[in-house]
Amino acid sequence: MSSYERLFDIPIGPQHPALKEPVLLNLKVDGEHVVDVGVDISYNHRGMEKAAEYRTYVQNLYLIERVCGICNIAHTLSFGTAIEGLHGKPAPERAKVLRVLAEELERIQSHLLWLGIAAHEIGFDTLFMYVWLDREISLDIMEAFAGNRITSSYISIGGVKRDMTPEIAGKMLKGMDKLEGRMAYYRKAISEERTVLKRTQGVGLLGAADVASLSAVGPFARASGVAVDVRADDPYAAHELVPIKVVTGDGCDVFTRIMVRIDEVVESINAIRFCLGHLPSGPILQRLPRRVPAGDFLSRVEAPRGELTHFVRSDGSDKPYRYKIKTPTFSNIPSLAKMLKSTGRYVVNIADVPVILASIDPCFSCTARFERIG
Amino acid sequence: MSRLSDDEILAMLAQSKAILDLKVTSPRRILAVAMPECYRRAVEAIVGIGISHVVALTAIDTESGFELQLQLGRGTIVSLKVILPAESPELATVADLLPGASVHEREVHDIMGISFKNSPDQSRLILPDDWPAGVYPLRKSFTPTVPVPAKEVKQ
Amino acid sequence: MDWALGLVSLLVFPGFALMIALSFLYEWYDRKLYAGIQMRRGPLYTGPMGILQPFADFIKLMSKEDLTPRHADRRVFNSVPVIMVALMLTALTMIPVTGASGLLSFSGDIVFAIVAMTFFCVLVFLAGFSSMSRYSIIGAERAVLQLLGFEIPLMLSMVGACIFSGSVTISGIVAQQSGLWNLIGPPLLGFAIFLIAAQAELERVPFDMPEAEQEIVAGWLTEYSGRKLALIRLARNLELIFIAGLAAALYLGGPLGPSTDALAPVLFPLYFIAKTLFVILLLAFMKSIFARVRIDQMVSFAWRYLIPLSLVQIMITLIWRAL
Repeated sequence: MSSYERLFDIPIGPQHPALKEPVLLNLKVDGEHVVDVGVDISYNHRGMEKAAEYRTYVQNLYLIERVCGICNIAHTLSFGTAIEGLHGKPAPERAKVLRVLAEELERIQSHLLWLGIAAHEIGFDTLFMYVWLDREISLDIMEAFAGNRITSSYISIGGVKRDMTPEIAGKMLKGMDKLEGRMAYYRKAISEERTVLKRTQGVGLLGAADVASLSAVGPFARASGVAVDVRADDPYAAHELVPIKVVTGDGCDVFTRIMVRIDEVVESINAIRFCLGHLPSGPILQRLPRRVPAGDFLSRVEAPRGELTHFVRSDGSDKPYRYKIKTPTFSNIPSLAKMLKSTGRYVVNIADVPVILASIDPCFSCTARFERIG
Repeated sequence: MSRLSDDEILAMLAQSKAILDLKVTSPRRILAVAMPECYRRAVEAIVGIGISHVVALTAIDTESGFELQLQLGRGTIVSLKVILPAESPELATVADLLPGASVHEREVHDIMGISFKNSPDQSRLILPDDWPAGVYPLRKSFTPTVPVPAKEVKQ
Repeated sequence: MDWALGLVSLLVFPGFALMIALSFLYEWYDRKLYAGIQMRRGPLYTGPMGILQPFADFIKLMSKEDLTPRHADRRVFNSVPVIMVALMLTALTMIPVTGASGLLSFSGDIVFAIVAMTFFCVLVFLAGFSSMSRYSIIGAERAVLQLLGFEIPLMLSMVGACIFSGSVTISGIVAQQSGLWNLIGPPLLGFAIFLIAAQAELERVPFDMPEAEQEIVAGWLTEYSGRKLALIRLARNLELIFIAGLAAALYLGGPLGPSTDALAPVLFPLYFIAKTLFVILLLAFMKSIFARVRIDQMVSFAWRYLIPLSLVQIMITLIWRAL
């Protein structure tokens, strides 16, 4: 019998309690099973790429930072690297290490934010509250270090804006010790809690071959055993100096993605400790001319969510001719659509949809940033 | 898996007839140029040496035409550059060779109006449903309208 | 004069007024506990320590706009909240508060208690289905599926207590426990099963699939607003008292405890409140340490573990009685 008449449309989005940003997942369900899904990301248009063409590079620093609140450091870092690349003058060594520090601190707060949301999506609000309380540690450090919890404009063209002091370093080390203990606790608690395992193991499966062919990025791809990490593949700040272990897992499911992200937080903690111990002396900022030499530059950064690409074409003036941003979420959308469809023995329940969606750590406002802004 | 060095990639790609010009622009960045007719064959050559991770598909309106750069690779990025005419820009799709490129092609189609022949899916991705047809927001000919704050409208 | 006293005890103490007041108190207690476990503060501003917050929420909802979806079955949609409150207030008259027996006590009243809980689920289904919203229908469907899972163990655990006490009236069971509580003995296993099944009956985490916020917005409640939502929330708080009171009566000796004849009218209600608060404490802990399971996982859990376990506890009770 043709099962099509039994199908029922369940729209998730553009406004829905599971979503923090507007996206529409149009689920075709048969009972509790998702048969097909349509992903529509056309709800949030901010026109940032076009707006960048009308602003000078210095103005753009603040615009680009606002592409994404949570990964603002990754965006400004990518922007700064691109402009320095066009000038042919990389940032001073001390600034480079401080950039890695800022970036890893941001990864910690972003992954903790994500962990809380993932717990919330499977209805485990206690874990959500615990994780977000611990996230405050990283945000307090960020405020002391960069001047603001988020959108701190810490990274500038040619270096960074604030220097490290021994007091901040001490505060940071203390916070890192505390966070490390908490991460060990979460790792244990999550891998032992039966209801969490039931909700995450074997959910949202996507094998390594699919992940690689769909060009997926970030912790999501690494949890399927694909060791794609810009920090290791294409070092951009002081990554030749700071050792970073690429965390991978081979479970290919939501549970592995949780574990990979928890382990990455621990790796980031280690990287921050290393940076604090090996901070070179010297200037933190070099002055670069307002006008940028003509040319193209493609800079890549490993944002908390995965590979973030900025492409800039300069025509020699003080404004970019074309600025293109590719966010990690954009690369993961084909994988998301594939994961949400039941095929054969792999069954997706309606209850699994929120956590599968969360498992790519989506950021749709960063992804769709094209239109209707001055 | 050991990554190929820039020089190795350069040597391997130099054998392909579809790629006209090849050079290293900065460390781990290689620029390859192809004619639009040879675009698919050039992509095949790059995929053939094991570079199949789609980084981005960047379209630039140069006013005399369109420049398209397909950026591929994990460590070293190979940018394959194609120049298209300003009038009805069109290119063969590579979504069948690189499944990850499909969304990038839809995005470029939305914002620049470059169409991809034989593309499996050419529906709108980024632009809203009520966006007028034939208006491409990232072309240089498009001037954005600045939204007027509500307070000013009242006065 | 008798009828006047009867009316007062039905309407005021220990009847409807007390129960409604307790329902607000218990909601506050539950929210405060849940918040405390999560390292939050919980309600804070309305009244001392936020104790009036649930009442303020009720008043606020009462004054909000009351919408009925255009395609809803209006008669069912509008009457369900009222019937829910009426059903729960009726069922609460069976719960002993001031002595061994409740306001109403008759042979087989425990059967009525079971029927009331099942009927509440049917009302949930009607509410969801008459809303004609996608999320509501999925929620209603889940509520009925869940009923198939938890209802039998819930009944069997109560049957275990009945067998142990040798009575099918709540008052009989309570009176039998004036010495030793049922909890201390074979019905302990029944108490555990009762609490798990009650968590599903009350639609609380980990069994809150019929209104899973992240999946189906608010499930069967999605289309309810204003006065109707206020009444549904009231009915569900009353259901919480009903289940806590039933657990207290079946396993914790009801309101009975050490007292003298003169003090009994004061002490017994206090014992009742203390015992029900203890049951809610256990329920709040269960709510906060689990993730929400999936509906298929819940039903298979109920049939694979809960039902065999509840049969085992009946067997143990029977053997105990025979000895």
